[in-house]
Amino acid sequence: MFALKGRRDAVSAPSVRNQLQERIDQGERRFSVDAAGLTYISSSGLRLLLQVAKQLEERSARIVLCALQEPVKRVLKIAGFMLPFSIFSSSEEGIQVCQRD
Amino acid sequence: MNVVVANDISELDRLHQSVSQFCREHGLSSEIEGDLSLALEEILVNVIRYGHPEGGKHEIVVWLSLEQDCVIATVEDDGLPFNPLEAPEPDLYSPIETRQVGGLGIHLIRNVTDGLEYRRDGDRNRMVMRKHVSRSE
Repeated sequence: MFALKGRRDAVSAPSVRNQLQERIDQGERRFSVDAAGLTYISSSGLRLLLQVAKQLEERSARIVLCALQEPVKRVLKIAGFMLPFSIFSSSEEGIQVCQRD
Repeated sequence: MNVVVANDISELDRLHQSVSQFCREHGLSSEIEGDLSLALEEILVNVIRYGHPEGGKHEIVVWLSLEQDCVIATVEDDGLPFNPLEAPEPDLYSPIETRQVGGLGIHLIRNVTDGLEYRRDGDRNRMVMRKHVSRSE
């Protein structure tokens, strides 16, 4: 489980990327991202999600996004992220899916 | 409202705070605030990352005004000529492994605003964005 909170913009995205990268490097293969506390995302945040997802795909691993708030969901829709990403309405669902894999 | 920011990514925090203050003062909804913040961030990030390859300190000026039921947001910078309206549409349909990482910023701006104009004035880029609003009070 990885919780995203507040704003993911060009200022904050790099530090989140570093945290996720560290966990990928440690061998973590299933990421359930709890976005309930995420209120804003820009193209920098989207780029971060896509880069992480690409890396995980290469390693036959996966990332699922959970509990998106409406403003964030809207940006993901505009960016065409709803189809290629696995999105769940609650973090519990996301965790279950990750545990099943 | 007039905000002058330096060509440094850390300045985005101040931009977002100014947008928030502007929306509060004019009774605009959080949806409008989110869209304005997003569109302005995307424009500024482009200017900051690509506008001044020679480096150095530069100023970017942002004006925000409310005219009837429309927010007018203008961004002016002295960076390289760049017309965002000529940017190609990004790939929105490929699977993750082949999806291109870049090009989403301009696409987001187009989708969260109601009008965009670009002009090169001498050595300055001038981008004007319009956003229709309905007051929340």
